[in-house]
Amino acid sequence: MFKGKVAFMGIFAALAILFGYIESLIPFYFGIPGMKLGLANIMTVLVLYLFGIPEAATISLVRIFTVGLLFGNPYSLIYSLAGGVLSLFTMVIIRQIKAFSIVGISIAGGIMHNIGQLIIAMLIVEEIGLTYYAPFLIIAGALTGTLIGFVTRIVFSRLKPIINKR
Amino acid sequence: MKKGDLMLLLGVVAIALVWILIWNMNRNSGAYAVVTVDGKEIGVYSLMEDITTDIIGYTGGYNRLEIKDGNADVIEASCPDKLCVQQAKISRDGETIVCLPNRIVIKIIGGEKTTLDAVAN
Repeated sequence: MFKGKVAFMGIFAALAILFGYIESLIPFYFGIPGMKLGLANIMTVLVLYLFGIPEAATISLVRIFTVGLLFGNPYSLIYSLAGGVLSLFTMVIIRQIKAFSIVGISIAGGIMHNIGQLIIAMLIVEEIGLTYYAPFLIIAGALTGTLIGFVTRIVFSRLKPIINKR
Repeated sequence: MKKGDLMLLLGVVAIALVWILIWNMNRNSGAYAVVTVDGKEIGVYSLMEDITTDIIGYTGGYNRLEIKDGNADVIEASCPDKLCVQQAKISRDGETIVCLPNRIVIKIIGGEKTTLDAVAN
């Protein structure tokens, strides 16, 4: 615990919520349920690399519940939760593989976020046919994950020295 | 971007594209549109008969199903995001249109009908 960590977490959480809100403003679906820009993932990945797993999980859950309750509905919250949990879980595991950088982790996270949402949708409407959407969600998740990854990498490289000095 | 990242991205996109290709190759013409609400089948409509009907969903919301020229499409809906309306019309075996808020799934099947007789609602 360094001086000011709580302050950083507070700002990161606020940013994650803001990103979640912005996402809800930008229509990004092309008719496929579960497709998202994944902006809020920037904060999850960032905190994962800057601080660690418990902190990343905290930011993620705070964001999911706040955005879900403020701007969404009970359904969107469940989808978001499923996507977020699966995404973080996958990212933590993938991170162990040295061949991947922040960008790779972000790609994996983006894909699994969409897939998590698809799985919950399939469970709720009890329709296995929804797997039709899977490849589209995978591609979308991979591409947005790449973009998000680039942004996160830049932000991380700027913040890491600042955090280290404390 | 490390080489591993690029491999992951390309690999995943390639698999997904192949998945889509294979899926599209195996699609036969459909014969019926099966409508389920919250997992329960509530109606079966033949694609041969043009019909427009409202399907009442889980929370009381509705989706307007139109069967025309062998296609099934959602042309209007009460849900907030209208993703279902955006989804293209379907006609081939296995294709679906989903409205998650209303928990409605319209799925095309070919050949045999299900155990439900004809049209409900």
